[in-house]
Amino acid sequence: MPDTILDPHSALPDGLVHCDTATLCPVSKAMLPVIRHFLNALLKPKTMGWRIAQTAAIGTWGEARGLAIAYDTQKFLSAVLMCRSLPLDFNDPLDLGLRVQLKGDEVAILGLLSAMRADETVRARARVLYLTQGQMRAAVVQSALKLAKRLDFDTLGAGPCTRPVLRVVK
Amino acid sequence: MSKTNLGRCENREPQVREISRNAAGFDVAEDTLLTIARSFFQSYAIPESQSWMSGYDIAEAAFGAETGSMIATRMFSALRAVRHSRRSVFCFNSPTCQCCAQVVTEHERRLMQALQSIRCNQMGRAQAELMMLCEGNSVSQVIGALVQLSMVLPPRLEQVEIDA
Repeated sequence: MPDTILDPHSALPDGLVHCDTATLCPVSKAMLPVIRHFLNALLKPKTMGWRIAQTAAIGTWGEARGLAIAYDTQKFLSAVLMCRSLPLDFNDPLDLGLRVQLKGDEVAILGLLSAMRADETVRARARVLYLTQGQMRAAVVQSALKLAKRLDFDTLGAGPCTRPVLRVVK
Repeated sequence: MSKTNLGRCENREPQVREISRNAAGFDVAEDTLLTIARSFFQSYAIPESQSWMSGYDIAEAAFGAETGSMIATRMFSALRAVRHSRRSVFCFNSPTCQCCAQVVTEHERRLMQALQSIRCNQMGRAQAELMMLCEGNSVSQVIGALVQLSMVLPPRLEQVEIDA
């Protein structure tokens, strides 16, 4: 399910985009706290936010798949950070007031994963260039594709049910 | 929780109550787990090292993508349980120093022998090791965490006689 608001260039001047959770697909909504806690861990090591990120992923996808998604998320974010001169901008996942808003970089990350899951190459390429400050790095693309593939395996339990409703026939 | 002898490792030999890694009787999985545990200890001792990432990388390389992450996470849960039970620091050797990594500290030895014992279904021996490791405090959470860990490890092919 593509996201409708995920355009990093639409960020407000202060770098914030008001996040209407109804416009995020369930997968992006579930990925947001995982990404934020991993960014917390990678940019502020003493927080050890990776543990919370893993717990959030396990809570959504179960232990085996959740931890695999968490691992791929960490590899992807590490690859992005490695090729940037500036850290990624993100909201504190533990701040109740800020966590309903999105920063431009968060929008780009979720948009990239959304585009890759939807196989929209042009949209994905634009977001890779935005995140890597103009560099098309293989490590970023490979790790993002791996994560997107794992996310695309199925949807979340929280998503809309597409199966036909079973009824008792008398 | 933990301290290491980073930077003081020239010709390091096992000290009192330490053993050589080669003589510890670890199988491949346990040997890998010791390195993973040391990576987590290092993350606690030196958060800027971000060694937890190495721990997960090692686990993924050794056990596969999904199982590796599960094993590393359950190992971490066991270490957290030890951390809550013990009062003193946990001495460990650096996972990145080739010289130090070949020596197993007393605390590492007790932890790994407890895991070995659980894998060999020797619960009494595991409990004794953990009581020594945890300074007489409750070890039920540690045992629970190590049992959970052993459930996702490959089976141990050989029984071991563990020296006390």
